[in-house]
Amino acid sequence: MKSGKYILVSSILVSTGLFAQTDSTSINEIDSVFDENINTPAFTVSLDGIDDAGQDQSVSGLLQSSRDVYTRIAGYNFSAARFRIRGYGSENFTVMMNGVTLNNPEGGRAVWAYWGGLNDITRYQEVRNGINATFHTFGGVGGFSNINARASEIRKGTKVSYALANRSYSQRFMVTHSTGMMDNGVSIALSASGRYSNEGYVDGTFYRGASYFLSIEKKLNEKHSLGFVAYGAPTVQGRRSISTEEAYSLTGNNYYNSYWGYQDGKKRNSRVRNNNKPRVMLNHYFILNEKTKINTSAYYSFGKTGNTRLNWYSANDPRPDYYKNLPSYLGNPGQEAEMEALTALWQSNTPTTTQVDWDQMYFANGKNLYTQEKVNGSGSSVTGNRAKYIVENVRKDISDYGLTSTASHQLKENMVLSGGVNLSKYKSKNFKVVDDLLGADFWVDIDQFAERDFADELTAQSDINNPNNLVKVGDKFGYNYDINIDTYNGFGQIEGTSKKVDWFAGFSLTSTTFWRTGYMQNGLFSENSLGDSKKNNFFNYGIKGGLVYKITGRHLIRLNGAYMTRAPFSRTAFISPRTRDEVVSNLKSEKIMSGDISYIVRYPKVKTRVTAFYTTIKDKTWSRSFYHEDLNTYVNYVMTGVDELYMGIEVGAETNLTSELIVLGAFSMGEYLYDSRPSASIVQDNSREVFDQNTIVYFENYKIGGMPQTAASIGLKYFSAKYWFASVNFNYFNDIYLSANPVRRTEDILDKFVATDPAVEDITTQTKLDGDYSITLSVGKSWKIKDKYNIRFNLNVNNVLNNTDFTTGGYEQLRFDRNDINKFPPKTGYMYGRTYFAMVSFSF
Amino acid sequence: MKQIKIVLGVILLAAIVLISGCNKEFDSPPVATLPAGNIITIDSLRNIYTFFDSTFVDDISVYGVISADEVSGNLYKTIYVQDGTNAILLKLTASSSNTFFMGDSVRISLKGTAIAMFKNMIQLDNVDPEINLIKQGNGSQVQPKVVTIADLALNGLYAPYQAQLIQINDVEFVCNDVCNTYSDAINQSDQNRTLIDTLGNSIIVRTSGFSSFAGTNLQQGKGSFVAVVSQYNSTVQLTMRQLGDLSLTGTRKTACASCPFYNKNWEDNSLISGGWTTQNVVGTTSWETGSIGGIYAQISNYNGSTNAVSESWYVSPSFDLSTSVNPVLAFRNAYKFTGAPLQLMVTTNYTGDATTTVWSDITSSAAWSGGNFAWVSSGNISLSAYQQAGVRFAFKYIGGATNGSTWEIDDFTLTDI
Repeated sequence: MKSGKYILVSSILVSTGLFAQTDSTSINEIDSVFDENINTPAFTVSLDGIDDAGQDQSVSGLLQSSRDVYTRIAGYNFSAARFRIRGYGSENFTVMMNGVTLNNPEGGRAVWAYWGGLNDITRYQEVRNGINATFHTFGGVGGFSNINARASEIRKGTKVSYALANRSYSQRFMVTHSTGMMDNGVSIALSASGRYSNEGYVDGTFYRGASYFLSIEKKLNEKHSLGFVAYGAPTVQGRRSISTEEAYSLTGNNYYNSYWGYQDGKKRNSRVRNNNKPRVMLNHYFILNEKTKINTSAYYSFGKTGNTRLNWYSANDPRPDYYKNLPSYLGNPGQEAEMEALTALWQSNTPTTTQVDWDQMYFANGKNLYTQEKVNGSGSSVTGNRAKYIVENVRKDISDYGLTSTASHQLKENMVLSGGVNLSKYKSKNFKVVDDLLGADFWVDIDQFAERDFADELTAQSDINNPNNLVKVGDKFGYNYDINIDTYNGFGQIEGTSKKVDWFAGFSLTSTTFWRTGYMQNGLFSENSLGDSKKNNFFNYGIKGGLVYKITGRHLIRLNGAYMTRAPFSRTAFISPRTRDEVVSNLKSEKIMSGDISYIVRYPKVKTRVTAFYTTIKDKTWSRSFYHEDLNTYVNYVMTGVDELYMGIEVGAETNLTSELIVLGAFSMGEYLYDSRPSASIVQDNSREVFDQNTIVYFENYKIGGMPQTAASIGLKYFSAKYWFASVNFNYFNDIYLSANPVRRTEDILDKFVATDPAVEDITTQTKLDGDYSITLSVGKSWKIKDKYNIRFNLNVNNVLNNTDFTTGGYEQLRFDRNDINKFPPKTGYMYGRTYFAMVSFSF
Repeated sequence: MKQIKIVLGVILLAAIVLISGCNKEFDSPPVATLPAGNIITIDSLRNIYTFFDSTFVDDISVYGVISADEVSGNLYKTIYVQDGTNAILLKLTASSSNTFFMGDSVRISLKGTAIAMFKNMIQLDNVDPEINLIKQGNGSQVQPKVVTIADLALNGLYAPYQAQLIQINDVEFVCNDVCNTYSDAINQSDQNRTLIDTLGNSIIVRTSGFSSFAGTNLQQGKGSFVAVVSQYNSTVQLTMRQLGDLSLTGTRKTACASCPFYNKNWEDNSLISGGWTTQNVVGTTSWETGSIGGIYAQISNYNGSTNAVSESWYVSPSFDLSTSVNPVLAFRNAYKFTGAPLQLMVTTNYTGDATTTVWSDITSSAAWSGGNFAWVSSGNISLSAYQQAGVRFAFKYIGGATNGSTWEIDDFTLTDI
């Protein structure tokens, strides 16, 4: 009885507390504010001040000074609306520093925050959009960027800057000094910055970041140079939530943040992210001869990410915007008075209702005297206040080292052969520690759901070798495991030019092995939670090629194509890594096929590019987790066989009206959709039961949500001969869809309905959000003093008209009630209202 | 330049056409369809019952609007659904009080349900609200049919209008019931109240002790009454949905004696509810509740072997009689065993301590039990001397060292006659 089983699933999901439905892959960022789809612009700008706007952790860099007009406009003007170039996820975009790939191998994304605040350095990068020829890497279909951190190539001089902003931070101070190559052959570049805000654009958020960068290079002789690079960006940040329309409209605040609350009259955020992942590199630059160069880098990266969040035992859900804490929960007849009272509390923004009630949690913890028998499996007992609420810190600590070597060789005058190898050994340590007991004496490390359901008390233990573990601040609990990923890659490329045709071709071979090492023997999964899992091996290859046909020097046609396979990411491969080492059944490599054709016009006064692209990613593994309040655990949704299609056009154009005035425009229209019927499975962290396995998800042609699929910008830019400029852009976005919940598109969920029932459409229709626009403005002026000193002033204003009603994305909650689809409405996010970034810099 | 523009334009146009042309239909999971012949009316559904319960095995559906829901608690795991042809009671396998409401239009998927009869009430049984009830919309209220009590009289096996929402006009509750509540909220037992029309026809209103209005006083006037027609064997009865359906506010046809404006009957088994207090001035003999044939207040200084010297007061809450026209007090009392008589006291200036309060002894105004636990009504004790605020009454019990009565008090009422 399949349907019978499904009813169980649906009833469980129906009664589920959706906490944070996020890419389970980011286990460490379990409660990441936005769903991946709206959190991670694949490709956005790293202008001063935008590098860490909002919560975007995974923002790849793209310098504004990219030569391509479309990329430049889109990168700057579209990022606030969570636009993604060609719709790609950022795992398709390779970010490197000195040839070393910075993308995290667990999920494929590069996290810009790890080197945030080093804008003076990261501006020196080579950026290419789409399939390209490069010496550095085979690259992803989205493109690549390579930050040049070589001390001898960082512009000589000193720059001091101070910026004021109202986004995630309010002040930034930055100082950078580069010696250039000195007489002794040594070059040194240093940069340091501090970013601070007591409260950012969103209530209850704060920001404290320090960044440092050191690069030393010594030219040994004409052939050899040695380099050393170290950087880090320790950052502590209070985070913001994403909520339902109800919470926004009740509070009258589209940037309502449920994560903070008052404690002793001060705002305290329950979700604090603490990043510190420094990296050191040793570089060897070797010019073998006039024709051959070999660059080799060894690197080591380490450090931690910690994300705090509330946890609770045998207590009410403390999150103020949990659906049971909102007035709509009291929407039934007979509850009018209660509903009215709660509505009034919300509308008056009463902090004990609309925000985390810290005092209440301290109170509850102080009144819960409890005697734990058989502490740590011994015969002894401990009596004390057992925590009902705690703040836990979800940690992901990494250790990543490897070696990269690339070589290029000039075969002929117009032909270059290049290639390289990359070896990487990556390990992340994943665990939770108690961050704050909120006045209690201890937390008992057991699974409360398993405790309820199983007579054998061992099954509820997180670690049966340490049962009834009483944990205190700093103690690990819940789970503790490593993810290990070994990657070996080799690539080769040949490129040539001729009068009419430029061309390139390349290949890549990659071996990926990943496995889990568990340090706790979970009571429910005692067979497959401790020790090393089986090693998952994947061998992948890729080929790419492209050519530019020069009709004339000013008219070009460019054609690119690539086909590659990619190992599944460990983040999606393990179905429930917190408790066991099981991987998705039928785990497959992704197959990526991509092609584009462009027509490019290059006149001194007119630059235009029109590109049509077509990309398919097949056999993707997709997973999401969300916290199930009634089960007190994470429920994991996994889809395999997810095919995605990305097709569309890009147009960029720029014309000089006068020598001082430029008109520029960018336009992108795409169809980014699911192109298969994947199969879905649902498991929960603390149950051996598989709720549903290999159910067909009728997902074909559903849109990939959370980003505008159409975007346009038109702007004017004025350059004065007197060293100032001003530019203004009008930007329009449309075809934004909510990320769809796959389970709502399965047969079993609809089994009791007939086609005419309104529920069928309510459940299956994907919501399209309204299109909207924004205006961006930048002005700048520079002064030269005594031909030596330079003073610059820059001001960027986003969303000049302060439009605070633009929903840029959101997702359908995974939890739903098929009888009342509005019971768990979508969670949505708004584009920030007017924000600014003003900077004055002094350089010499 | 012109050439470029043309080329660009063509490429652009081609691409846009390509993409918009590719605007594909969203996938959708297979969903059953309902052939026209598989939809029946509620009237047809009722007619399927032929003295035997039968379970539906086919995909047949009925559409209707919920005419009575479970929100008020008067119905439990039961709702009524009505369409243009008829109405039926649905017996649910689980409560729908948070999911289905009056005015919701629903499709009832009959597969798995059974058409059945219970005490001559035709009903659709075994309806799983999660599986068999599919909401189609909301806000379509069923309009009650205006009928008379005579129209509802049993005529054959089934009551006319069985399960339908009806309205009767110009009715009032009979004098015997009119001072009662709709049901017995304290014992949560169902109660019958009788409605009567101007022609003298009457009908029972049966209300669950669990309903939210069980403890509410009946509306005492005459007017319109909306309810669902139900049946229990050969008894036709009305089932209320909510208080808002009643408008018994006009002048009655038959005047009744006034209802008490205060009534303490100790059925809640509490001495102190409503603001009553006890005070032991001498000894430890205390007022308590007794429960032989209903619950009441009682006191005795006999502990099973000896009598204790005692003086114990039982003081009422404060009453404001200033607006009353002719207030009277009445209560029932009973006693047994030799001892000092129970005294009834009154004051308008209670100090919070019975011993420092100046009391008036009105014991002689009341009729008292002749002993042997024979219950006697005190009769109406006029309070016309106390038409002011802050009036309190007290029962003063005296027990001796060698004797003492057991006194019982019940149904303490204040009425403006």
